[in-house]
Amino acid sequence: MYCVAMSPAVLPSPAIHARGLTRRFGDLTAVDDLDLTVPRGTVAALLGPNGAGKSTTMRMLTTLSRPTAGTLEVLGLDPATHPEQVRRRIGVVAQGSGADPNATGRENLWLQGRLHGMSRAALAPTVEALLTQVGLTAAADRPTGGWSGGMRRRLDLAMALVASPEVLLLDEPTVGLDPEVRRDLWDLLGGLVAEDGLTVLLTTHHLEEAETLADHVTIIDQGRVVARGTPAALRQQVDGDVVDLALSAHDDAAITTVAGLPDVHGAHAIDGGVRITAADGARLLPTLLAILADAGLEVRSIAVTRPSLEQAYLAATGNARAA
Amino acid sequence: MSTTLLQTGALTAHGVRNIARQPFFMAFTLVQPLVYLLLFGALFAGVDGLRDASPGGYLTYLTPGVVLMTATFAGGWGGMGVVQDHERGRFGLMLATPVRPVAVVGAHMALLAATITVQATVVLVIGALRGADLLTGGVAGIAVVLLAAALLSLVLGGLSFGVAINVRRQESVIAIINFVLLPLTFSSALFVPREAMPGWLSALATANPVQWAATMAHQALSPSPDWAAVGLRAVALLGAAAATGWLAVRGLRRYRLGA
Repeated sequence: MYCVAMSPAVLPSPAIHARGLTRRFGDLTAVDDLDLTVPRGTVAALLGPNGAGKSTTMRMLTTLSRPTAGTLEVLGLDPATHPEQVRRRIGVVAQGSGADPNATGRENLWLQGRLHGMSRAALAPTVEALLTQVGLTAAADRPTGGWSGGMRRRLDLAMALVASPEVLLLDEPTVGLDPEVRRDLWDLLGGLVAEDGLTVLLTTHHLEEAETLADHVTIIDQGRVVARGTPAALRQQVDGDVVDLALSAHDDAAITTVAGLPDVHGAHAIDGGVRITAADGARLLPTLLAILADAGLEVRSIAVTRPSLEQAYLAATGNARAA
Repeated sequence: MSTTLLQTGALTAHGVRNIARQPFFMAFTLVQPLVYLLLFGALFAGVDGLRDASPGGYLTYLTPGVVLMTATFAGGWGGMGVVQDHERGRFGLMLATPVRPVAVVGAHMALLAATITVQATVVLVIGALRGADLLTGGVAGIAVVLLAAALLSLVLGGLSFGVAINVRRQESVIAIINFVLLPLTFSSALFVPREAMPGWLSALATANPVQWAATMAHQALSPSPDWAAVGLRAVALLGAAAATGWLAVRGLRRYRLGA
């Protein structure tokens, strides 16, 4: 009894909490011992190549598949045992558009709201507000079958939001869209999240998407987590910044001196110069230039490259495959 | 219960609006039975013994038969839309809402029954205009024909939904439904009176829901209907519709569990 006050149950549960989540289909392990925590009000991305287990994880979160092992909670509820309660509180954008192509945008939104048990009185203003928010008011009374991919995706998003969910689950929300349309959707999503304090989990194989939208990224490959962290932290896991210096001459001694500097991870000769990897390349530049000037070398050009999330991703998924 | 009704109502209304927006589809589904009426009327009217199938002539016998064939096919092919919805990801999305599977199946069946009632009315009117004597049983007789058609479409509609939600492939659904529909249609007295059928086929027809509906219709349109026989078959059809509807609901529940 005296433990009650310290029980973790009194803390607000995270929006999504998975421990050792596993889903097997016969011999195939689609999701393998996945741990994932998404605090309320944050945006998390599940990043990975096709077949990594992202959609299978989504299906378990959206109550449409059951874990083989491990635990899963959405808003403190197990989707397998309390599916009805979970369904009431989540909004889902599936990989394909789930809208009825024969019905108009407004009718699709209306049906979605009614299936959530919303009254006509509550639904009417919500539908109009959402149509405005996603910029579909003008097209709202045309069947969605004739809409562009971007418009349909915006409708999918509005449908997911119609019943005011607490958690928004987006499975590859921008797959198959033009880069421009994708950016529009990111802006829209970013705005929605900032306004409503929603919790969002999205799956994607677009690094830029994860980086643009998410506070926290989990990289999975072949069902397993291979890296996780903020986009910035993941970038840092790669060997830091790359500084390329084009030099007037080759000088082994100068390279050895540079390589010995604190904060420099490595330095090696490249064609016409030297490549240095360091935690903070820009900050290192004055020191580098002084050393090279002392050695009598002329610096012809300087390029500092921040590591991209892409490098982190390739490193993480590459390592997982090699292991 | 009220949740289920609300959801069934919303889904049915959604479906009605969709159909109303497709005038070509509406026209086509009306023309098809009229073509049957014309073709079968011309084909079978010349066959010995069929001319006297009904005191009112063969067309009087055939018209309710075409109504029920239309109901059989409309219900039977309803599963194609289910496969389409599956392929479009509509079920995946819908089943992640608090929707009750009973409401999804209920709306599918309600829509079928409504469509069939409209189609059947048009076929009956055209049949009457061409000389079928359909008013022997009065308004009650016509109402029973419409009821038989609606119930029959539900029996096959539930079956087709159930097959489709379990199989989920167009080709397989087409193969299975094709396999079932024609034998069901032709092992009944829709076009040929039972007395003219071989004994074994007539015996088979006893267990055929299409025949139950045919008996309802032919009795109701006869000068002295056997209402007990009509009632019994109506109850049997209702039971069969509940059974196939349950099959469909069960399939949808399995689907929702990721099976």
